Amino acid sequence: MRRTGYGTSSSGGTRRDFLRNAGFAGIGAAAGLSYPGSSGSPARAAALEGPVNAFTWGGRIMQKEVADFEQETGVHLNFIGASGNSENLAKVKLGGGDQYDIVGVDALWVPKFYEEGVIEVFDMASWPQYGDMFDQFKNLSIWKVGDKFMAQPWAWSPLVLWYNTNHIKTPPTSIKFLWDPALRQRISFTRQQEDVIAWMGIATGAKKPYAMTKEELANAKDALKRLMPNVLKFPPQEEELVKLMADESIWVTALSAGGALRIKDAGGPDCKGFLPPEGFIGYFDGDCIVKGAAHREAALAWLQHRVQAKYIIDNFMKYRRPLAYRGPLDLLQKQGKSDYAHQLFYDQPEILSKMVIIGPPPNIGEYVDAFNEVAGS
Amino acid sequence: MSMSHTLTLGHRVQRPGPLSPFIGILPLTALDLVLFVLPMIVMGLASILVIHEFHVTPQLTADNYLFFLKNPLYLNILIKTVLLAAAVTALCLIISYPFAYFLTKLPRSIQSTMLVLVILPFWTSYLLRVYAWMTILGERGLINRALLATGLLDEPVRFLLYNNFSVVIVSVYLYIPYCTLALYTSLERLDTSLLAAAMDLGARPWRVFVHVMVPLTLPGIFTSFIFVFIPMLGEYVTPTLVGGAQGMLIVNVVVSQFQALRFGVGSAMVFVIAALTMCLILALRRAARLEEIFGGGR
Repeated sequence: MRRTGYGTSSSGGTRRDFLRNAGFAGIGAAAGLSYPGSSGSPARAAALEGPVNAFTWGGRIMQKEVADFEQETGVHLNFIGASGNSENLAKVKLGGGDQYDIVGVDALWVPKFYEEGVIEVFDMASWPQYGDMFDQFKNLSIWKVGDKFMAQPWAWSPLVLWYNTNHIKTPPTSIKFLWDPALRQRISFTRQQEDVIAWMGIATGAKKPYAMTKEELANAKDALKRLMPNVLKFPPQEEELVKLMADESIWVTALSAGGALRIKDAGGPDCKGFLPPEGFIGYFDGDCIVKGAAHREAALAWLQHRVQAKYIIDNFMKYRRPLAYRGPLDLLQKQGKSDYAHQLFYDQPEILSKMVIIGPPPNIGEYVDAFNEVAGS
Repeated sequence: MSMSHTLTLGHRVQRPGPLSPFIGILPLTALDLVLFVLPMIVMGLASILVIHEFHVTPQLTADNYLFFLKNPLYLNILIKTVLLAAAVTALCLIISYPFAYFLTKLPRSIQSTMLVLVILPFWTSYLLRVYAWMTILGERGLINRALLATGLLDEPVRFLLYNNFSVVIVSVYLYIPYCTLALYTSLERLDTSLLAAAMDLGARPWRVFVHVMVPLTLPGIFTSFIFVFIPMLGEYVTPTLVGGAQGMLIVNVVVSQFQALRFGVGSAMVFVIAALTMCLILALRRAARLEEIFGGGR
């Protein structure tokens, strides 16, 4: 559910937005001319069989790159919106390669998909854009089998605790500020049970927030129970969090890197971000090739096509969270937009190693029970 | 009479074959089998087999049902859901009944216009209607703005949205048209001379309503119950959008089980809810003696 709302958040219609987007479209065009790997479709020469059925997150696919791909290869791309990792896994398990060619998966869910035998590894090292990838992703051992990858890295971001500066004047210094009685019914998180419980695990000092022991889980549950008076609701999508922050129904939430900009775009107040010293959740995601994909070659061609710098720039400007490729960062820096890149963590890939990575807890049922026991009581 | 004679004489009338009645229901039956019966069989199997994530062991078990039925939390959520559905159904009936009665008393031409107005909300999306209520009940919504503008409040009230209250209000709004239409159909056929007769015999209006009018319109009430109560048991979107942090209903629990890859437990929950619904319908049907009312009695 987390990623479905991305698509509409930053497409506001103000004149300022238009000028800014137009400016960056210029950067994008420049990127297309000046970056290696942007010189055309890798699939141009070969006749590919389609359509490509891409079952992935909303923030992946943009109209322009799809149109270009279809024009260059003659292959149609069907986008099927994904809603959550476990649901995606169940659907791909049932539909298989006949129904899906590509599936979008989060961080530690990728090895789970591989263990379940629904995705297959593929070689990316020979792709022209490989050199543009941050080293953190090139060396991502949990996603690799030998030299091959289980997923093509795409976006990443820490989940930042954004707070409304009109109402919270003193910058927080600890995650404990969430329990401040002054925040009664002013906090919301998305309804991802395991993520909410993992946040509570961070607050209560769990060693591995996504693999907590029974005792740690009990502490996390207790923390959530104490937090409940401050929680307004658990909406299913990030987009609703942006809306709630914008109309000031809530003052604190967890959103990815560009959260403050998205809130501002939605007509909301000034917000500041806070990464708790106790730890913070983060994600990176990627697209996988479904095992036995009926249109495997076309799917691989699509994956190569869409990582061209010009498309990545557009994607970054629209969805405002860093991607796994350096191209936009270098261009932003050349354009004197280093602050913007920094604000969105693009120049800080080292944060990846500090994040508590979203993943399927081995005892996911216990996480869900803990959440339900608090939220359902 | 003479016309039917002409037809009979002019065309050879073919007798329907013994299978003719079944041919008509074939498409619906096929659809039902594929989209309802088959998935239910799969769910039924999933609920009684040992399943760990995606790995099925061909071994029968009652654990999935016991997990649900032995867990007081989930039973409480089920009870809460039933009570909420009952509250919404009761409110829909209380509001719709006098309105539907009022409709039947209007001239025919106005009745048609009013009925169009009743179904007018269906012309817009379900989600849009729920979101519209969020803009009415929200902290910066219409009601709060009006109360602040008139000086009745110094600061906006927050109890209007994101709690059970808002779930009930919005659900009542969403289901009232179904209830009104079902009751209208029943009330329109009501023989009002029976009401007059009861009054003539000295019954007070309330007594006439309870002992004459309600029994005669029981089919409409029963249909309303089916149209409102049952969908409310499975309502997911409204509580998710306008419910609060603790507004979890039984369907949210079912969804969470599937998200946790507990397919067996999720399926067992679905079957318990379905069984409960069936039992309620059968009990109501028996209590209301609907066969006599629908079938005209013996």
